Amino acid sequence: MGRSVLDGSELSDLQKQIMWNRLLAVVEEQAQVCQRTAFSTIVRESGDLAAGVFDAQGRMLAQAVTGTPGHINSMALAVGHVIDAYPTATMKEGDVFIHNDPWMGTGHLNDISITTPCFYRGKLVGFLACNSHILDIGGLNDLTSSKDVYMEGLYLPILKIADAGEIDESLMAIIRANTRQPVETVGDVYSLINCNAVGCERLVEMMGEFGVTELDALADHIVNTSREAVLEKIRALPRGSWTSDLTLDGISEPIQLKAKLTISDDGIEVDYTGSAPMTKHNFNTPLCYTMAYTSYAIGVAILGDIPNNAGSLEPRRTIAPPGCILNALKPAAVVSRHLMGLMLPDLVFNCLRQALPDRIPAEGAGVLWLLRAVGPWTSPPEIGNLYMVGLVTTGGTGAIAYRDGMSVTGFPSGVRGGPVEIFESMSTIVMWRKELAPDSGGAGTFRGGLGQIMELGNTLDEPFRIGNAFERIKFPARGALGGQDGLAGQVLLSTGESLEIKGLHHVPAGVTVTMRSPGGGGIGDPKKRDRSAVAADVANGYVTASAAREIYGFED
Amino acid sequence: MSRVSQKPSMIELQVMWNRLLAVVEEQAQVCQRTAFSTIVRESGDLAAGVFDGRGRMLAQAVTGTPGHINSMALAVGHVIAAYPIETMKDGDVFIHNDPWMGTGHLNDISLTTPCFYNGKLIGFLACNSHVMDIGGIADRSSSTDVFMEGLYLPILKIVDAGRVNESLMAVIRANTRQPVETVGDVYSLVNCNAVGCERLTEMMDEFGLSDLDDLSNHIIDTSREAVLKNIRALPRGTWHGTLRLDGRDNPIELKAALTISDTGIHVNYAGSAPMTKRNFNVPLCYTLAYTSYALGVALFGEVPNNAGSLEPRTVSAPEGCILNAIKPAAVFSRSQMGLMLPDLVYNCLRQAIPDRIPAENTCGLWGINVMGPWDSPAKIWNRYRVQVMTTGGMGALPFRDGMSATGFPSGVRGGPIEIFEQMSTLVVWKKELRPDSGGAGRYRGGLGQWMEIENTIAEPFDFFAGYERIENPAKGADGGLNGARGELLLTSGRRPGGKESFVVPSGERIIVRSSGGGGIGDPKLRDRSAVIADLESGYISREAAAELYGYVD
Repeated sequence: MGRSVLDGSELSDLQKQIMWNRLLAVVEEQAQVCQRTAFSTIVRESGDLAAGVFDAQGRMLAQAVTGTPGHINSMALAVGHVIDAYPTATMKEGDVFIHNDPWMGTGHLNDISITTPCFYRGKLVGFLACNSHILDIGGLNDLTSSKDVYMEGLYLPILKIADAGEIDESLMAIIRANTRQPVETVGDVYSLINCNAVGCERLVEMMGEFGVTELDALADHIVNTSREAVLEKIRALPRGSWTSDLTLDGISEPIQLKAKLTISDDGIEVDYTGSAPMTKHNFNTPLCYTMAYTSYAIGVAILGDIPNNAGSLEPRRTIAPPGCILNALKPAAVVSRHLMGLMLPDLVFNCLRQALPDRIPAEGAGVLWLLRAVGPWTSPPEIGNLYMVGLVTTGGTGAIAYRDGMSVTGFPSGVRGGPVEIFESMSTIVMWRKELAPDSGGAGTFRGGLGQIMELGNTLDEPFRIGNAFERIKFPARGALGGQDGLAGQVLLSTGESLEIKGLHHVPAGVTVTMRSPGGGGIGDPKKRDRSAVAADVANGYVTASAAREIYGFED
Repeated sequence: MSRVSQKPSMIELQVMWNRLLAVVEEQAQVCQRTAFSTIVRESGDLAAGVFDGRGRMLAQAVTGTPGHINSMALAVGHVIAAYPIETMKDGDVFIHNDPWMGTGHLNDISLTTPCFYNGKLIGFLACNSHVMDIGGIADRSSSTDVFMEGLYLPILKIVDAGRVNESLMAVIRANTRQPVETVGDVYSLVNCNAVGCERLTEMMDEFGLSDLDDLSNHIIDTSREAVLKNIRALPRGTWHGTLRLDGRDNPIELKAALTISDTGIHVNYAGSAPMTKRNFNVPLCYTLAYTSYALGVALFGEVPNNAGSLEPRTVSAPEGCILNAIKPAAVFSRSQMGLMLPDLVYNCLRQAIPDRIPAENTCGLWGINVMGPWDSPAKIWNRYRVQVMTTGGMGALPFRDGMSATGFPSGVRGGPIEIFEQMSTLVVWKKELRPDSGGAGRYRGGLGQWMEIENTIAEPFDFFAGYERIENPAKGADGGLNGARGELLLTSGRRPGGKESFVVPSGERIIVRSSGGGGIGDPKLRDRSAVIADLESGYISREAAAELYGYVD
């Protein structure tokens, strides 16, 4: 651009800030390319992906806002694993690395991670990385019955999917052969490769424009500034250690999780020692995923406006003993690791609330209520002619000490609820009812968010199966500071039978299923709730007249 | 060494043919001696063969099971269809475990190596063997499609001009619970083909051949002619047979029409049950393998297996039938149907040549397949998984008693209990021939076995059953009685399903009684000294001798 070429060291702080913002635009475009070209519906419609730019040492500099915490914060570590496996000195322009190792990526095989070294003037200047959730990677597809990771599908160690620009067709053929959706899955791999390529192109354009030949100075600026900003926020908090626990439904027995959160000058540490051991079921959680949701919880509660990067993540540390359910070891079954991971913010908040009662919400629904249905397209059924369809539904979030919880909102996943119309058109199921569940939000000065009631049945005179991979059926979201618990979830057949255990359940022909997702916990004494808010809740049908009277002491 | 241009004489061709049989036998021995998988090492669950430049099988090792051998005959054709011959280079090696292009399930890995002589592709060495773990569901009974059954390798180059594809090897290593053994087995297979190729080119050197064309035409034409000659001595016509199997949720009805004509024998399975949602669907290659084996062993046992001798044996089954299952059907336990096919073929053939064909057999294997913790209390992941092969009785022949506890048609050997006990915490309290299980007849069916197994530690263990002939016994023929049904029960009295995975509670024994073979002819006509010998050996009880054989001492 007419300017002399700089190695970056002469950049002013102003220039660095501008380039930092530019990097955020680079990764946002990278993520958009992935989302717009993805074949997987959960990527396309719900944004289940992550994309980021890294420096030559593998430190994350910026990440797209699009994405879920489990993907984003674990991706921050993925590039380090790639560098460990393939020294940067051996990397060539046009190389692209692939893996879906749950322990080096995002915790289960369905997420494919792609890492692309980015070269400028023949020199490796950084990495673009991304990952997304593909709908099928082979293996068991009921989401509940795997007993080890080998039952969960194709396991790709860190490998070169492109070598100096040439696609490894053997590897692509293996991916194609090991999924029930070969077109979509291979398409998603190309989509990921391509979004990194676009990111690299934009990064190189930026470097040309600003006349820098390496990112080191910019990287140091981003990482140091962010770390310092996080530490500054942390230093404003009370020091100390707080412990708490959380009991989850599990399958054969409840799962007890424990945490000790310590705030010190150099950061926040969460230690999960004392939590339950690994289970024989499939909701064991690799440490990378535990870290992802722990640092997300801390970030969203305390450090909201600081961008996610290696610097801002560094002061947040997670510890869990090997073999604990939150540091599960290979070959544990991990496909449903989100059943534990998505609950971790509640556990972290149960600690933090003791330190900062005015800023931390009560417990919420946590886990998504991902409805899965499997059934025949025809009556009588034909072998192989089945639909298998998923619908993301959500429960209520916990109240905050100054605001009601949000109803049917996917916290902490950030994954959107899906439209019923698409679900119905992809199955023979009809959704008779999907509405907010009255009285499901925990009562309080500030009320918990509401869950929802859904009633569904088959339009064919055939049985179908419904997958329960839900939480908070036995243990509701607890209220705080005198607020009441949210209503627990429920899955009932019209015959009266309860499907409260996780698993794929049979729904006989002619029988309907009623699901109620859990509500969030309330905060503060319900009797102190603003009377106009109670009146509005009754008018909206959020609270029944009898609950208003009995719990809120409301006389109209 | 100087007769390159001359046509080899008939004697030379025969000598070279024998030499080829030695080549493939050495190839198979290399595989078996270097294999890591116990079922290959101890029970010979493998196949090895040499093929000409067009992919026609010329010779195969005697070692091996029919399901591997006869399906391997077609595998090289699939490789050539995927990678045209002119693109193949010296040092290329192809791998696959596609059930529809190999041996019917993902656990068998097939290797195909083009063999070059003086820079020219002159033939192929092929082999396959059973690896113990290829990922996927581990319980043998619950997969409902092929994607649940493990790593699926399409036809790929595992070695490209002498260079191993390390990415592919890394994928194999990452997708098995036994990475050392499985990768070791792949190298063992690569290597046995290499040894075969070396021996083949040595032979060509020695005999001064530049290609195998004359030799392969000789082998194929001679073998085809020998088979056709055997067939032409048989009565012409079409005979129908049926076979009812236990299946899982409901019985499986198989039907066959066998036609003997001048041009060969055709078995048509139209009318057999459709594919099931369970995992004993059978790809056509495996149906073909056990059908042609049944015909071979009954009618032309002395003719070696090759493209020529296999050609006159043809099979058809409608697409979507359980014997021509279509991808992505679950096929892991395809042997539960496939191993039974000889009985069905014989139910047809017996009508044509009653004096040569046995009564129904046990056919299916009675493997004891268990998994349990090494410790009490159990620790997650510290567990054993072990299998020992056991067998039931064969059907009687019209001139001889059936063999007891013999793995027909698989040819897989029963395994030693001592090894099984050492590889688990279990003890086998009993493993003995099961009295009165052989179908009574003038010639008695072979006996099944009676086994009782219990844990030595106070823990439950998992038992993975995959048995046939619990509901439907091996039928007798020509007035002979049926063999005894198989039985599976716990000491509590519970009777688990024959294809169920279940838990054997601590302190309980699992009792496994494998089925017996059918008898042939009226038991009353059985030679009295044979009845006495059976009594003395404990093969039959005094009551059975009196009631069924009419024997009074």
